[in-house]
Amino acid sequence: MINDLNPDGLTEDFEVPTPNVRSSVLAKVLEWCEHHKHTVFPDDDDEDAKKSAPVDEWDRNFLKVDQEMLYEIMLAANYLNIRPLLDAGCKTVAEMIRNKSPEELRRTFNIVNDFSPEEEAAIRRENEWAEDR
Amino acid sequence: MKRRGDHSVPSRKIARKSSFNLVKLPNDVIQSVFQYLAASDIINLASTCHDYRNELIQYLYSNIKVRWNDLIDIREKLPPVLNRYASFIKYLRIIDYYSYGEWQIDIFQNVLTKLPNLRGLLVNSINSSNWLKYRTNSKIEKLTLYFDISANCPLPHQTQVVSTNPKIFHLAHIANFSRLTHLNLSSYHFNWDPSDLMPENHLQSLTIENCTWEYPFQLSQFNHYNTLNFCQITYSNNNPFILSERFTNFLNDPLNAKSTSLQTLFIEFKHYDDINWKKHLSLKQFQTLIDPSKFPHLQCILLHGWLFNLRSFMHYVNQNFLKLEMALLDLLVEVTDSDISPDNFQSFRQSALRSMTEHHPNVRFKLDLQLPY
Repeated sequence: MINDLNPDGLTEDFEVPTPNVRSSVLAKVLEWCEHHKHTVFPDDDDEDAKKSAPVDEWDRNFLKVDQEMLYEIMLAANYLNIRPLLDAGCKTVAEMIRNKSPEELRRTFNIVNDFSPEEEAAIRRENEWAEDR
Repeated sequence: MKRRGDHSVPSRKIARKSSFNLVKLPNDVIQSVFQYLAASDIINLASTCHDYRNELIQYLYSNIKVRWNDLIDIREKLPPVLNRYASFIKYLRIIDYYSYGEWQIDIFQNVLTKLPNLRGLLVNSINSSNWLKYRTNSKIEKLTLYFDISANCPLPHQTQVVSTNPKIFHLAHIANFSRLTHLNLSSYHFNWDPSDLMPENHLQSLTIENCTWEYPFQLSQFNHYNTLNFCQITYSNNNPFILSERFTNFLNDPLNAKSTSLQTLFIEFKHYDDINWKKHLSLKQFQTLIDPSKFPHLQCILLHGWLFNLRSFMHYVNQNFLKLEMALLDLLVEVTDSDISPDNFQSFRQSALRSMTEHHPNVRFKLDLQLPY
């Protein structure tokens, strides 16, 4: 990715602006880039292959971090446009969400239920209109 | 009504402290996460707290489902939920089938005009599609006509009478849907005369599932302006006549050699158990598909549920003069080679994939083999 920025093979140093990215997060992102520098990723337009592929084992372990770090890695990957890292993050988050009840989701993401019982009943009624397949 | 949130301010603050807040991710990242999830997961996520619900409501109500009763007698006002979220609604599915609704209620005039961003309509229908002839719509891009008998639950003492007459679809039925580009039809019969004057259409994507047709039939009539780039044909009924007679003729030249626009062709046979009636992929048929003079822009060929001889297919594909111009060749097939057994078929698959990739490095191959049982 860094090479993409200087296609003419400029040798002098240059800056990649990374505002709002903590140094510990940037270090993680660079660690990921270093590990994957020889990896050939499937084309971006091959949605099916991307969708069905499980998270790479190394990536899975790499992303076993606290939620705050995971969140910031995803933001950094998005900002720096590192698609394979962002995809791995999205899949990891999707796995945390999949097949969980609202109560289980609250526990997973530390969400406080701020609905009154009346509101919860109203939400259940409203949800019936949302497509569920 | 006192909201619980009003007197539990401290706990809300604790919730905010956790800086992982999924819904504060950029919209395109949230959408990337959602592509790996089922609709029910998103509903559950939007039912956790006010913050999440407010942020996710746009995704929750982009696709909605209604019953005919929700659409009947509304005259002026939509049901409250639809009214509240009208601007989010992109796809609406009518989940029960109801002839009275189709014929007596013009939803296109009295409901759908109130949904400014509606792009797609899915209708569970037990009838022919001729009711659509009397409807007009210039917004809907995607129309799906399917049939799901389980959506209308009869009371235990009632028996459901399902007509055995074929459901007829005719291109003239959708003549007044000027923006229609995606059409999905399930369990219809096409019986028009190819010499009939057909209304124009601008279809880009066509999926026909368990549909049958009278001869002569020209699928190319769905491709009036040569705009069709995706075509999927799925058949899962064990009707030997349809398979042997209709499909064999049809497959020799599926779009009557008039589909230079086609980019993806997907032909799938499902749940078809009797090997005697399985569709054999002949090299002649395959040759038609890869013939650049017939399908010059075909990028993806997906053939699932076919029967073929792996060795002769491989031999053909790997001939030196054969140049495959496509991006994807996806085969899910049952093999007839007598020397392939459960013990060696994985290695057969691997070596077949390897040699095809060697001969055609620009083509992505997917090969799933099944053994005859």
